[in-house]
Amino acid sequence: MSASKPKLAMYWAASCGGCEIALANIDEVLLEVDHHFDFMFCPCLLDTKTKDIEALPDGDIFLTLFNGALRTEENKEMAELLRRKSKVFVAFGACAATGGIPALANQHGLQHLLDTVFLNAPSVENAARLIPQPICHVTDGELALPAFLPRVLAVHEAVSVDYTMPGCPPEPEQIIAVIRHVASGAPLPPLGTWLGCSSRAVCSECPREKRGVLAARLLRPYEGIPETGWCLVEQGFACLGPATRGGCHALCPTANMPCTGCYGALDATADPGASALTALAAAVDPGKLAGKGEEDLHRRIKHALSGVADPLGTFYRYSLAATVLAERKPEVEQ
Amino acid sequence: MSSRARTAVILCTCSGIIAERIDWEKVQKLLAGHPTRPVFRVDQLACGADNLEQLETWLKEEKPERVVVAACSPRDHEATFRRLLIGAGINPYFLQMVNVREQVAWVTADPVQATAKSARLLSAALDRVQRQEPLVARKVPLRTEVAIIGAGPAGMQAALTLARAGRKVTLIEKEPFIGGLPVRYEELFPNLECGPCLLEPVMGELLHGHESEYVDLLTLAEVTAVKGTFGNWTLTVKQRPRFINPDLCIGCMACAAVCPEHRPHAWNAAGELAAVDAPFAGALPNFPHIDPAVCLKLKGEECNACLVECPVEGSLAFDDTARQITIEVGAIIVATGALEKQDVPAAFAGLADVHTGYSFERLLAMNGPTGGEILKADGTPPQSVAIVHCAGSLDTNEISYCSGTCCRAALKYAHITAAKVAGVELTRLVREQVVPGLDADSQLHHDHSAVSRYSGLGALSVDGVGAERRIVCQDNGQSIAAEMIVLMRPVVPGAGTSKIAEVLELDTNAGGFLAQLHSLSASCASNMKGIYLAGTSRGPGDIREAFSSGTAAAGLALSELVDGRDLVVDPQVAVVDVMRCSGCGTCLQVCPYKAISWNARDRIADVADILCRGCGTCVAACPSGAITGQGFSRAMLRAEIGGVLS
Ligand SMILES: Cc1cc2nc3c(=O)[nH]c(=O)nc-3n(C[C@H](O)[C@H](O)[C@H](O)COP(=O)(O)OP(=O)(O)OC[C@H]3O[C@@H](n4cnc5c(N)ncnc54)[C@H](O)[C@@H]3O)c2cc1C
Ligand code: SF4
Ligand code: SF4
Ligand code: SF4
Ligand code: SF4
Repeated sequence: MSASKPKLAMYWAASCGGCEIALANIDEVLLEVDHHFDFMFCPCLLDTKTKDIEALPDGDIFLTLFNGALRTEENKEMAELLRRKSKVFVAFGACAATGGIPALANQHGLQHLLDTVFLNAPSVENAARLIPQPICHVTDGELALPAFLPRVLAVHEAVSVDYTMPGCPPEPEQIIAVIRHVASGAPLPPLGTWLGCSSRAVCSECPREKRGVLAARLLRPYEGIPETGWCLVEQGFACLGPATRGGCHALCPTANMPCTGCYGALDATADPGASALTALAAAVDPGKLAGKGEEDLHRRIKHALSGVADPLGTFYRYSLAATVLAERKPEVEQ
Repeated sequence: MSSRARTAVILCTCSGIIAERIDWEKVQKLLAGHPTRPVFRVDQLACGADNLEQLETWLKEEKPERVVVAACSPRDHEATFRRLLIGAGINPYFLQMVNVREQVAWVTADPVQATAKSARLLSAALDRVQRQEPLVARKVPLRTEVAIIGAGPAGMQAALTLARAGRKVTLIEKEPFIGGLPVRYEELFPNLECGPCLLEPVMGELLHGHESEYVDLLTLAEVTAVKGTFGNWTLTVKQRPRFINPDLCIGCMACAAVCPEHRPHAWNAAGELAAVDAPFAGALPNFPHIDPAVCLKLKGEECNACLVECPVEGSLAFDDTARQITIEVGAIIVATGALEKQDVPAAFAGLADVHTGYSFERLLAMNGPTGGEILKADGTPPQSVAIVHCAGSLDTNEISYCSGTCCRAALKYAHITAAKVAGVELTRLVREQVVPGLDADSQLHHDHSAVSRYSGLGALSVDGVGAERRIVCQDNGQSIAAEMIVLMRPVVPGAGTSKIAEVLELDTNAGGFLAQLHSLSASCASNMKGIYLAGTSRGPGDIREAFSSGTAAAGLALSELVDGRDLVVDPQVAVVDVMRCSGCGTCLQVCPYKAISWNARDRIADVADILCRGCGTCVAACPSGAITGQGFSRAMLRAEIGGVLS
């Protein structure tokens, strides 16, 4: 029986495991998945080995949901392998789509990252100053660890991706919708389509009311308690709803939490962080600017944006691998 | 849309100016392999009338789908070549101009480089023009009536200019009388002309002249709301009751003479006015008005004093009520003027016989509180008068700009005071002296008052009282006789102007005056199409400027709203993709022309193409990429960049 069902694989590269939990969150629909698919590869849940995948004929897996960004050589090799073995290869979740949280590491060079994690973090005690190496000689021979890539990649930077499903993680009902669509045998959308999300921004799904008010400046989250029912941006909170694909049903803003942008930017031709920044800049009242000198303007803008303590982490939280900033030399330290 | 549309390229030499630097033969060779396989033609003067005829014939023979013209700036001749395309039966927006004259021939000295650069720019245009789309200009019928807000010199002049052209005008004035500030001034700088005499003919023509049938005057009226766009505005006007029937009242003011109740005289800044009265003799329209807060009868008490005295029954209309009037017009002219700043600086506050320019003007006026005599509060003439220029202007602590008219007004006061009060000791305290204008110099040259320089209001203090009172100036230790003091306070927008800016959503400049579309070349246009500006609502100025800007604003209305001519809406505007707009509101905040409004039903943004000027700000700002600048789509711009780099 299982041999006649199309094969389904799910893999994690540099990811947190949240995407797998999101899959588990489809609850009893898992039975439907089992009914339609031979769910044969998922290191988090199943004991299939890489060599089993290598043994498959190319294109033998019908659908692969690949989550996580590419941090190591191994991540990249697995992406290449699964791409080859899959008919439909989906970059699943924000990290696979645009780098996600792991790609924030691209702000720093590798050496800086290793030093921070293994030597300098306040909670680390490493008197021997040991730093893991790709190859390590021990008495019985040689141990190998997958080497780091020079920078974290979004999956499409390494292999060709058929579809992208955004979200950190993708919402269960969107996963259900996509899986049911594929299972139904209905024609698939044009290659490159973003699945499981809306073509409109989060604002279109958000129940909060726009009053057409400008905020005096952007606030840090601790600086205020949002008024219920009123758009967060208009109250000064850095909600990325205007610049983020919908599909989550405005989960966060509905719960008083500014959108952090996990469903990704809408305008594929524009820089994602820049879009978010323009949207927020337009929401802040610059005051009367006419006749003001350069210095004055600078001060005002600085004041207005003083609530953004970490601009890259705010505007590029999930997209640093996919921006024009991506090719910035990693050696350049902040 | 085919990506290989047949493209004609017109290469202009601009009578040799372009050919001096650019070798068109060479450019043709360089572009011979271009995938669009263009057909070329070199013209000596492409825009010449004869040549345009030949070009039209050529285009009709070649039947291209796209046209590229390499010539001068699109500002010069884009319209010319668009018309050429229309003549040849091609959509005018299938044109792309390459400005090789200003951007290559005039700036790139080396002919080899100039030729190579032109080839790249043409390659960009060829790639771009393939992506261009046929656009059609929309036509909208427009109204030709005009509303004018403020009946000072500027507003009245605009109204008359329009009425003379047969335009229906509604003139809306918040006061019970028209004429603005100068109608209350006895004499006007620079030539000491009589203010009321200058304005009376203008007011007379408005109220009773040939053109008056075109003018609908609403006094005691203010605009409270506005809807619509250029060519089709709807104004809501609230008019307070006058309690006088203008069809019956003959303006004899018998009522005022017998009225037992009085109120402070706001227009004289001194003295009192009866509950039923006109602000001053000669105020037009020549009717009194009743202040309902003071009139006993309107407060429900027993009083018939005026009714008994009035010779025309029915003139007093105690049942008059506030009206809300809706006016539909094509354009609005704002002429709400400016005022002197009202507060008195600390060093002078609460002192007797301290005037502002305005209250001193009223003192000089025959119809003012003293009948034109310069008298102190105690009724006697002052032995000394000190006039303080720049009292708050050119002062970073108060108003940073120069109010522009106060020096000339101050010189006027000095002159009149010297003539009226024999033996008066006159001092002008100045910081700067600004007397622009051809005939103002004589004011300065004929002035005999003592002049003392001071550095700022902070340097002045007042010492003593009455005839012994002196202004002490810290800067030079001088002590200046100042039994009467005139402070030339800064000219500021005034509440009427600030309010109208809010209602009409007009931008204001740093001083709070109405922002001009361009301070030099479009000083009578606002940031909103179909709203024009005149007079001191735009910033301090004299009556000459008020009159000329009134004419100018009327001229703009006449040239933009022509009877029988529809409004042709440039299709190169922003268009919102309703399937992608999330209603985030970003674009609403950034449009400098307020062309975008909120569509509450669909929760998305709406661009009014009539108002959009195609600036592209919203296109860049929309975080959803949901707005396209027609004629400047991303695909076109990318193709253009690709073409330059290829
Ligand atoms: C003290 C002083 C002395 C001056 N002396 C001279 C002089 O000698 N010679 C000279 O050339 N210039 C003089 N000026 C300048 C002169 O007053 C102005 O140039 C002139 O008044 C400008 O005319 P205007 O029509 O723009 O505005 P205004 O004369 O101010 O008229 C504006 C009108 O609009 C009305 N209005 C305001 N707001 C509203 C509203 N929201 N709705 C409806 N109506 C409204 C006002 O009631 C007023 O009637 C003097 C100015 C000052 C302050
Ligand atoms: S900006 Fe945020 S809070 Fe405001 S409507 Fe959009 S998603 Fe909702
Ligand atoms: S016009 Fe004269 S008095 Fe008025 S602010 Fe300018 S310099 Fe001062
Ligand atoms: S900026 Fe874009 S998405 Fe936002 S309201 Fe305007 S058109 Fe819609
Ligand atoms: S293109 Fe400019 S004028 Fe037109 S709607 Fe956008 S911002 Fe406003």
